[in-house]
Amino acid sequence: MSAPVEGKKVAPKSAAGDVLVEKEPFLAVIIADSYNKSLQPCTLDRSREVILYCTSYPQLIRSHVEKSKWSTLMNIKVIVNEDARSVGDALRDLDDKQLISTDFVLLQGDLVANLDLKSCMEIHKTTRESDKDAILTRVMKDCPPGHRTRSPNTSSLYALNRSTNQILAHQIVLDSKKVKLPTELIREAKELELRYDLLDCHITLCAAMVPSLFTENFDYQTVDDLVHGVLGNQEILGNTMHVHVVEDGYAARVTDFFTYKAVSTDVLEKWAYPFSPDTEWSNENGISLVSFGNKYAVSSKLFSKKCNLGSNVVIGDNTAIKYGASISNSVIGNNCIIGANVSIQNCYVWDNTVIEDDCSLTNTIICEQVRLYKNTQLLATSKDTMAMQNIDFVLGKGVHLGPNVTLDQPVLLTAAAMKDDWGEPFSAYESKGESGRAFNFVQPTEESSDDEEDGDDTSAEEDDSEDDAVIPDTELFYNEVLDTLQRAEKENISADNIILDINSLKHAYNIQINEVNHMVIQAVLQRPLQDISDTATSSQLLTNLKPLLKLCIHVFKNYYRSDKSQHECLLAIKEFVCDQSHDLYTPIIGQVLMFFYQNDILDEDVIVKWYETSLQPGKFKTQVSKLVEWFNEAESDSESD
Amino acid sequence: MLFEENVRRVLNEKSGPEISEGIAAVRTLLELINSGDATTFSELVTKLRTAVKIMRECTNESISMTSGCELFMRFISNIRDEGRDESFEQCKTLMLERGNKFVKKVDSSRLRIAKLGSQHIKENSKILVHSRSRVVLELLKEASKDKQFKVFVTESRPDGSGRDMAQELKKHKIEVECILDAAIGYVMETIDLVLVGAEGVLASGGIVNKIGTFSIAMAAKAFNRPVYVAAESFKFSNLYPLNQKDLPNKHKYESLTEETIDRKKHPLIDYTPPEYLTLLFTDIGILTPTAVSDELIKLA
Amino acid sequence: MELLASQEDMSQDEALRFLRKMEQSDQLGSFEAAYQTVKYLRQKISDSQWGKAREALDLVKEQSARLLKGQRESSVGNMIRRVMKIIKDEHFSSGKEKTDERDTQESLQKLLLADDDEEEYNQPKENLKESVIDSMCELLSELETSAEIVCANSLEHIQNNEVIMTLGNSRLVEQFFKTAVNKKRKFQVIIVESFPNYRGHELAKALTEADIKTTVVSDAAVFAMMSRCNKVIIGTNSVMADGGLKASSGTHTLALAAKHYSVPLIVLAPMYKLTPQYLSSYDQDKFNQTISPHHVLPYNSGEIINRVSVSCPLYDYVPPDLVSTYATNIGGYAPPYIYRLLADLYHPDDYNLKQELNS
Repeated sequence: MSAPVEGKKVAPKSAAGDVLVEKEPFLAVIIADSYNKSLQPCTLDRSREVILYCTSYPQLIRSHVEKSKWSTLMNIKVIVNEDARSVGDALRDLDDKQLISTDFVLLQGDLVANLDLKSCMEIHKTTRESDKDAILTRVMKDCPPGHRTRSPNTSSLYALNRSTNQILAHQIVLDSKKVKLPTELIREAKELELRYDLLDCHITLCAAMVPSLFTENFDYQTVDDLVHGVLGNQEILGNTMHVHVVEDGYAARVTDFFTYKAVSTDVLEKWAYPFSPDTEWSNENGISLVSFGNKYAVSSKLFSKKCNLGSNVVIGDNTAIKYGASISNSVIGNNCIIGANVSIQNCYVWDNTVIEDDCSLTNTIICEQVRLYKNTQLLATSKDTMAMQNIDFVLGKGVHLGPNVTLDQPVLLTAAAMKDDWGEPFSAYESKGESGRAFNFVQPTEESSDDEEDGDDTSAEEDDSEDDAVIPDTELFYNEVLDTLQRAEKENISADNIILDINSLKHAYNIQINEVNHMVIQAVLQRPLQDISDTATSSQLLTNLKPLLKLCIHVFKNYYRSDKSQHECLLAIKEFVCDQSHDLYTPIIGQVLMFFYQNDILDEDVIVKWYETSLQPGKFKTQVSKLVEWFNEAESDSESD
Repeated sequence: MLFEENVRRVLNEKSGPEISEGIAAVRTLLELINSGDATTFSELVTKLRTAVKIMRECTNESISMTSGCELFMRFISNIRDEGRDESFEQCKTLMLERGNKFVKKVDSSRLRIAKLGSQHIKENSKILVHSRSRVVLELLKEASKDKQFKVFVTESRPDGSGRDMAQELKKHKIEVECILDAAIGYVMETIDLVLVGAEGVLASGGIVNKIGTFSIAMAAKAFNRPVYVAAESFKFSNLYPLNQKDLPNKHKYESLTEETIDRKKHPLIDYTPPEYLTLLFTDIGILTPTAVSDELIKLA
Repeated sequence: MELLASQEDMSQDEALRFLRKMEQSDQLGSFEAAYQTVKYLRQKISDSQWGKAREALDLVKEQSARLLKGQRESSVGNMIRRVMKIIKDEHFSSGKEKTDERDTQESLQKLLLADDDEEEYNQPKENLKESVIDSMCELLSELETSAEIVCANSLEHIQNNEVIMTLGNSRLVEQFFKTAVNKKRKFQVIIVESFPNYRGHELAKALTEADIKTTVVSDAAVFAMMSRCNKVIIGTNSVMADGGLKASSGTHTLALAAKHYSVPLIVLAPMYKLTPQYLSSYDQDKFNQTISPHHVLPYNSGEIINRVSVSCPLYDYVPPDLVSTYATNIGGYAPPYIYRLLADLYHPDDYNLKQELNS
């Protein structure tokens, strides 16, 4: 491609895998013929250079790009970073690599759109010319509440300056009917427009300096964070952001099952034209419109007589539909077999599945290679209207549900048991019929989600707005950990939750992992000290300490796995006891260490090494030496045996 | 007399319920050339003409037989024109060779028509068929291989051949319903298209078919439904009737000779003018009614 | 069939670009699509080496498989058929001195002569490649001049002080009117605005710039205005083999109104729009194309789009009995005679391209 010319756009994006947050069992990126899951909206001949940023499934993405027809028309660079966990991380990485030098458009992989990006870019450029501080323009779709594509999980209120479309405030509104806005907003703005009818397409036209903003603020994970941050710092840095509302044209992101269903229906009804099942843009399979009412199929050779195709249906290649089946508002993939008298409403069935006779499915996503034996009923009995829009059942790849099974509560199923971090299966086995093979899917503990993120940010701001300048983050973190432990003791919270809390605090205060390790053990040791009186003895301390230690075994195991971290732990203990003069601990330190050793939290070798290298002679060392001698004896005993 | 018996015998052999009379007649004539002992051209031609006359008398002369024989006679005279310089024997060989090709082509015409016409039948359509036609049957069989549709067949009095058609269709697992001839106006609003065969395709572009065809075509026109005709090309005839009376009587009535026609009986066929027809599916392609006359002119 | 290696590499990229452009061909327009197709095929034919007609035909078949995949624009298929007919014709006529043309059509006559219908096009002929390329260049110039030729007859169709109705925005119709005005005809035009894209407005602008008195009416007003019109002149997307039309949505209504008032309907149709396919009006689904329903009911209407199914078809089928005459670049024709033009332009074996490609 020729040298960069003004107006050339670079469009990075993150792959779908890491941003789809909720409720999805392990799934492949490729979807049955419903819509274009590959690169992007049209006006492809404007966007010449594309950076494709991916975290999960890099192989699949690379091979898809190679095979795809877009690769001949555009210069696509695939960048893989397995550690990136959010859009923010991706942009930080790109900033690091210095790959972006012009204005660019930021898109995500689960976007379906038919917008003209060129005109959006023109608007962005015009805005930048008139307002030198403008750094980004968010593209929004005009979409009133109650609209099918508005997911109930993301609703935001924007306060805009009407004439320039500048964002003055932004709030995410979930369930409440009240919103708080600062009064300066109303006082200062000449024309204020409050919009609740905007749907975020997650298409952002950014100035070249936006990635550096992400690098500066390590806790920005999404563009929303950036928006909040910039709004907060408006007086200091003076950056402005704008909104471009698109009325003609279609853009929507699939962020959860709700939007999956809504976007699928939109594509079937041709709102995203030219991305509809029967145009050459989006399918290689030769799907054509079979008849009025949006029924698409590759060929109806394998459809038996008396099968009833309702409206909004796509049937893939080589799929057989037996006598008396009735299908409506659904997408069926390639190579499937739908048995006789099956009723399928509002479902999305991926490739290579078999649904035997007499089954009945509603509001379900069925992944590849699933088998439903005879007479399986999946019908949620909830009558809530919002819930009717939602997907009730998700069957992951390879699930089998046995004959004569009825599921009436929404559930997510996978084919293999979920394993936790230590490789032990922990989710319930639900056998579901004689030939069934299905396990409940439990959301693995996420370190942080967007909502919690925001919650912490705002609460931190509220609580510490005055102290912010004075108390460093580590202190706060430490105090918080102490609070957590206190709560844990009182309410008997499980170790997993403690870990969760500590991790979220880590993110909130942006603490490095080694510092966390350092502080956790210190907090644990500190905790009993808070409760005892000044005149207590060491053995009393020990009594108070022991239950807490027992409670925190898993916590320790989580943080102190490698030798290095264990060493850290010991260093921290030493620092706590010696340097911070918590002398009460000195007599009992041996027993504490013994406890750690016996519960496999600390390795013998590490302790010995620590003893030999890091300790100064003194009372503390003497105490530890007893333990070390015991180790040596034990070793020699075992040697002599 | 010997000759006459011979002709009848061969004709019998070549005929069959599945074989159109025109094809049977042509095959008979070919057989006669083969087995005949004529030594000159004129002798051969005279013999063939006599054979044609005999065939007409011993069967119910249908238009397809007339046009088929006409075509074949033309064929013979073409060869005579071409092979003027060569000997009779050589001519004869040429005739047989070409004749076999001709018959083969004509034999396969039904399949070709079926392939052409089945594309025009849409999934889940309702088709009205009149009486029994082998070509239409073939067409519907071909279409039913990958499409589903429903067929309404008129029972077609006086001989009730529509019922036989319905039976045949049922055998091929096509959904069929037999209706009264009088009910065509009633069902026309639910029908998507009309498909009929033809005994003869005339120079005007119109067709001659079992009595009742014209009524169906009129009703279809009133409801704006397409009328498709499936007919082989050897049925093209040079007749140009201006109204129903213009059709020759020998075709209309069931009888063997002019004298035994009972005018009080009802005619068996009627003429449907070209303005009521939409398309003709033939083995030489899909034709509009105006194209038919063009084809016949080219022949002349 | 050898391909010069370097040429293939270079043109692979261009070829792909061209094919991608072809996929957007409904934005290109039928003329552009036809023109580009012929150009592309000409280049392919001249770039590769071949001696027999069969090889050239196979080459064209191969290219057409890609061109036709999912192709909505029928003029692409028409041009492919033209090229195949050119190759077949050149095969027969090259080297022969005979004055009478060999009839490549199936006909009764052919049946009678019991000719060889198993023509394999396998005999090598002299100068076949040159003559094919020459004919294709002629085809290209025919395409280029087709609009001019159609418009040259505008004076015959438009008389002074007439009121003419048209629909949508056809470039050919615009040129037709402008030619008449240039030759000092005075007339008025009523333009039907043509949902969903309201293209009639663009035509109105162009005509007023040429000083033609124009009135724009909505699609619903067609019947009301028809009584005061003398003629209806329209363009079309394609001309079907039975003489019917595949034209913009709303044309059938226009044609019915014209019939009712006995107003002649003239269709301007250069021959690259003639397609050998028959599609009847009840088979709308395969024949028609629907686009985003946004024009009918905007997406942001809220919850209603959940409850209502919205459809926006682009084309209409007009049966041949509603059309009075076709003004083409090879003369004026009545609809019943369109089938004859088919015989001139295309070989019957090529009528059903998809079938042939699959065999």
